[in-house]
Amino acid sequence: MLEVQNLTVRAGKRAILDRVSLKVAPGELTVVVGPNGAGKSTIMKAVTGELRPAEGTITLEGRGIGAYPAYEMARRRAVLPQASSLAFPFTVHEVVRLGTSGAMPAADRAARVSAALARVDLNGFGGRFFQELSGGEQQRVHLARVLCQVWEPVVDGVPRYLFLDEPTASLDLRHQLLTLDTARAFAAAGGGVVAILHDLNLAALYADKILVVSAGRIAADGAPREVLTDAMMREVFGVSVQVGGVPADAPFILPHTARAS
Amino acid sequence: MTAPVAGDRRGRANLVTGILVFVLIGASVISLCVGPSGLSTTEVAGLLGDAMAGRFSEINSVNHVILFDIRMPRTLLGAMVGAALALAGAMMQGLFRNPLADPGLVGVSAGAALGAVLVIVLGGAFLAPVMDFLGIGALPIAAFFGGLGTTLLLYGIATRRGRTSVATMLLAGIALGAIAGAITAYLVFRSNDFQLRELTFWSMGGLGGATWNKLALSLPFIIGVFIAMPFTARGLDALVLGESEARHLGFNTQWLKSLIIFVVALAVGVSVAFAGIIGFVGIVVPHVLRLVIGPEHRTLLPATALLGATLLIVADMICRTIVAPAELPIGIVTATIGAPFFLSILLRKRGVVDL
Repeated sequence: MLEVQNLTVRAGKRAILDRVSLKVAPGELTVVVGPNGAGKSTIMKAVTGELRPAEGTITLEGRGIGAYPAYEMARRRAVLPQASSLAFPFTVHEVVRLGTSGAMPAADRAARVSAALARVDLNGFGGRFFQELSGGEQQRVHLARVLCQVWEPVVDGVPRYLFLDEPTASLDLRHQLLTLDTARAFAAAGGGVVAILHDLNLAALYADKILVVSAGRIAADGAPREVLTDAMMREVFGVSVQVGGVPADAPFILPHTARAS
Repeated sequence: MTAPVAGDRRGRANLVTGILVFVLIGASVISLCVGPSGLSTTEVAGLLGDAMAGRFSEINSVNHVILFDIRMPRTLLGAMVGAALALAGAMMQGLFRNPLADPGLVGVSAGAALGAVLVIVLGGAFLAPVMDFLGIGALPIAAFFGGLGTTLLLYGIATRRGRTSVATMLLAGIALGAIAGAITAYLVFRSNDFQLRELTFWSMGGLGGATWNKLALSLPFIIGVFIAMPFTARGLDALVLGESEARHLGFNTQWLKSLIIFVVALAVGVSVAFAGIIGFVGIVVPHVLRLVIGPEHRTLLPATALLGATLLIVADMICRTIVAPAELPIGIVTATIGAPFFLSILLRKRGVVDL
């Protein structure tokens, strides 16, 4: 369990996050949504230890995240950044291998790398140069690297976590679905997943829980059906739209009927 | 060895490293045989054979002195300085995530030179107590601190929130180099005749002044660099992804960066103290090797050290034979090879710099 209590982050005097509390349970896919500048990425940065909060506590399995040394944190959670570029001519295989532990035998590492590449639908891309891939392919390479880092969702009864910052941003529809399938499978196997998404329909389709962030606060927190409402869409996103309930259990947002307000 | 996996270049890297070992040995042997005195290869072989067999019958002969007191320390110093400079280049490039970072270009060498000049000019004056304490080690130690200070400043200026701006780095490097150069020039201006001679001799650079004493002095620095090398390799790979990515992969980035900066300063300090400013080794060698064996530092760093050592030995051979019996400053040779190289990287990666 990842628990955040009264998290406040300031830039100068302005509070980017204002007393945010949330819980991420293992076995669940938690999706964070919200307008631009609401503080989604800041939450991600704070819970992954990249940013020191001004106030509040963040605990992982009951222990403050500051108390974990970097290497132990790396064994418990992996973080997929938004697009990151490489200055040197690494092959895809070499990039993904960075996610595997140096303690593993070389043959196992190679096998793990291949399996991860297959998982992100990049079978046979190992020998290609990272810099020569398209943006979406590069993003999937990083996803493979991150998956390698926390390959088993649960180790010795301790769950591991995946943090995905806009994992579908530059992907085509098929790979958006594949990526979120992978995330859901990770959660189903007992791991915890936190993903920032902009596509509310994907969020509704895949999330066990949606956190709506608005102006540095949690505006709503719950199952997609409870959270994605006409009122929330109007108040948080500033969009008048009717949230539909067809075809499956998940609500959906049809931009055809929307207008910016 | 297992079957090669697509994209895994470690097998090739090991092969290339093996070849480089032999090339370095070959270059060293040739370097022992080459020089203006016309000592023949058979004579060199004879002297080496005698020495190995423990026979020093000719110990005072001219040939013996040329081989063991001139060419051998010179070759070894060349190997050490070449390896140190190339490693410093590779590590700085990893730290700054940019193939254009070179200690010579971004002012680190100039900072180290300032340290060295400070010792030469002020060593007799108010730095005298320090000098007495450090003895002949003062020069490399001062150069180390000069290089360390410059690298820290440069990193502080060019990096904001874990992102290094290439344009800022290059421009700040030019500025820092100019400041260090100006202070150095001022110190040279107000130095006396004796210091001036020492300065001139030192600032020409090159391996001409190599002695066993200097080798012994540089050894601890070089050993420090080589001990740290394996500890930085994996971290450097992770740093290439970005600083926060490296942290997420489990590296203590603060510690890692400090270690890298410290090692770069060690390597540049010892090189500048004993061979003056030699540019471009740190940019050419890692770049060529990245193309051949890939940028993974675990394999790149050892290969870089080997090729850097070889390159400097060969450059030095060119220096002392091409205008024999005079000598070219070695910086001319390395710049002639290196500067076009730098331009070619710049042209191909114009987007990366993007001023």
